Amino acid sequence: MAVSHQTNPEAGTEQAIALRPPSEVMRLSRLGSLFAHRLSFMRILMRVLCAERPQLIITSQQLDENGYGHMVLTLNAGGRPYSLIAYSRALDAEDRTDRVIATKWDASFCLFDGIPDVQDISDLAEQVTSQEAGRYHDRVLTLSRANKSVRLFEQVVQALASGQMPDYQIVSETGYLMRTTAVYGNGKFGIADRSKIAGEDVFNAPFQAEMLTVFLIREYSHLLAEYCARQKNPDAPGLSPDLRRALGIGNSTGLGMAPFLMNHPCLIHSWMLVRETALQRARSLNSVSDTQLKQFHQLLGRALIHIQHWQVPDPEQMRRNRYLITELEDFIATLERSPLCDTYPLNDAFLRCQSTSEDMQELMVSLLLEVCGEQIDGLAHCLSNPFTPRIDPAMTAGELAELLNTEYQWALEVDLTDTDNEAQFWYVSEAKLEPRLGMRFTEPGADREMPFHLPRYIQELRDILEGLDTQIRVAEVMLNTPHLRYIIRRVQNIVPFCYGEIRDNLVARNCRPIDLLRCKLSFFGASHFDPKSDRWTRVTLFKGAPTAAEIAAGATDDWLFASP
Amino acid sequence: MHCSENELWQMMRKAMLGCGFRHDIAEDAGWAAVFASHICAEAVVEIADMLEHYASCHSQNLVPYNPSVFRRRGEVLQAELQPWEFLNYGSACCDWLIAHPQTDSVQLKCSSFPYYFTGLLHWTQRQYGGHIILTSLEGETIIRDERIGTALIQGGDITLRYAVNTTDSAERSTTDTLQVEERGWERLAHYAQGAYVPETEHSKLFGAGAGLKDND
Repeated sequence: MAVSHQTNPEAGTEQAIALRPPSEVMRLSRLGSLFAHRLSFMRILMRVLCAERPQLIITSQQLDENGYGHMVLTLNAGGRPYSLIAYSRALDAEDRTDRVIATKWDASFCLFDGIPDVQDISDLAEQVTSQEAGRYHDRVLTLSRANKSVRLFEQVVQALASGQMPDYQIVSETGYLMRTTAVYGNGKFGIADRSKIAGEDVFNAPFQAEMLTVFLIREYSHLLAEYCARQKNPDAPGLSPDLRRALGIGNSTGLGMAPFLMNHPCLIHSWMLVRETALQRARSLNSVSDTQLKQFHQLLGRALIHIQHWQVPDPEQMRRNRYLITELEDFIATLERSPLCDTYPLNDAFLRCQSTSEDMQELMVSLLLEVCGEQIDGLAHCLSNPFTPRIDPAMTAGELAELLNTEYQWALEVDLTDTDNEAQFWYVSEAKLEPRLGMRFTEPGADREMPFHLPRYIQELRDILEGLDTQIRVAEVMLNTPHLRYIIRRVQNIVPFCYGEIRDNLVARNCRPIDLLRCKLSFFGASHFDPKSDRWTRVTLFKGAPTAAEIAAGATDDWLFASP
Repeated sequence: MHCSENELWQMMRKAMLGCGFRHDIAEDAGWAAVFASHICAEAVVEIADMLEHYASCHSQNLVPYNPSVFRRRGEVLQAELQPWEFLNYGSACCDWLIAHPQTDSVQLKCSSFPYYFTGLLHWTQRQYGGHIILTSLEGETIIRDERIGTALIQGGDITLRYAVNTTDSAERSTTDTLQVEERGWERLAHYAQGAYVPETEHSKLFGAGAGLKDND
């Protein structure tokens, strides 16, 4: 599909640089190479907070000598107070797991609209600490839980209690004191629908309530460690500002994120279109200022250090990291010999990466976006999308067939006589509704699979359409072959939302779901991807970001690859 | 009981899947339940009653869809439907309406006009930005009229027409707090169980790609 060239009035003179087409962008391998960027949701939240400089206030606290009890952290955003209510409980070692199937946690949280009173805190305690088993009202905006890092939390407490600062290297390697295992929003278990809060400026961009929740959990984790240390030694120091910055929040993420991308094609289109439009704007800049150029060079250095320190046990990720380091070093070395062109310098930088790995190309996208805040930050308002796919029942069968030919060649070309191409199926387990992958021909449950077997649906639709008069309407096609209605709606949706479809076979034996996870997590702004399998990863959120105290003191949103 | 729109959408969708309906119909049904419940908290009870007719089905044994339920008269679609059959055929009626605007394109004979179908028409109207006009013995009504679910329509012969290019988009707010009948909700939750795959030791260990602990 041709993507129309969009001009950017803010950018001044332009050369005609097209958006990268969906057929190039929406491939799993590329989606699995994305990095956090300037329009990631955490970054958007940080810019809002940095502009407003709110003071974080502890509005209620009742903790025992072990740090068990509750703490309420309140922050104004968009002129309204929002509060994280945090409940911490003792957790036996055998109950500690980061899987979504867990039923107990070190700490449980909700983001509350306003400042909760004593009754609110008491009423919500039993619900929030039982998470999915609770029922909630719509003053609760999000729900989350976290476990302490077994590696680090107690170590930090002990160090502080002995009057010492924890070792920076050790702190930074782990990168968090607590790790969330789920953050629920948008109406789950009765909490507020997104539509209730989407009108608030601060929550206009996607997942802002969830990001605010995680940001406040990060603050809570720092405060809790300091509190526990002071129970042992009233004179224990607080964490230093650099340690606080180096401590984000961990997150364990599994397959749940992958179906989200498939089930929200309109929204995904907006995310990808915004990112591609931002890239187009950057590449279209006729010239950049000395400040921008200097920032670009600094960012290259930061990125190199960041990736050099990105050490994980996964051999495949480490192989990619090593290769990326080599490519980045080559890029920097070449840049010293041959500076960027005076005209369209960022496009020059982009084009220099065209024969590099997708990791390097997408890293470059993040770097280019970073220096173009003035040109692209306004795009944050375009990331939301209230639409859902709808059928055009007046379309003709011929027009629909043409869409298959132009947009779904990748699915038409899949050889379905090869069982490897449909070896897997996606399903929802009855155990806490955890999304899982199964092997189609050896495990039960394929009859209840999620509808992600697009190659089969597309090929069946093609076969049916081939036998029909090209002028009959889709409404009539669906009347006679109703089981194709799902895929017809999906195919038609690609006309207005061309970046909404992932153009790879998600049920093939060689499908790597972790690519989907990385795509979504990069839009969140996550870093330090630490894959534990091809469908499960740890990441760190807000590592290197300004803390609440720094924001109140005037910090800026300049932390891409800032923390190794 | 209070529930959120997204929660009701998901629950209805899964209840439909659990009873053996297709994914596209299940998604539409989710929206129909949301809009119907804004009209009447008891809509979920009605929907649960309707689902009971299909409860013996599950995704392994899909609810049969019989195209001959519909008769074609040129651009007009005719059907005689029992209330519960709107779950299965309501979406096709809406598709036909949108494909053939400005004519009395869908003619129904039904013993009662369920809240469910009113919700589905609301949803369709909102998606396409026009008006759906319902004609019965009582006269003409634009489908957004909230009375439609109660006294106005008792079934009988009904004609539906979709009008495009209206200035009033007939869009209703869906940001109101939603109240649903708990007994209906619980039955939907029961049917939704049929959409999930029972856990096995193998799927617990390998299906999510994570160890059972994964602590750090």
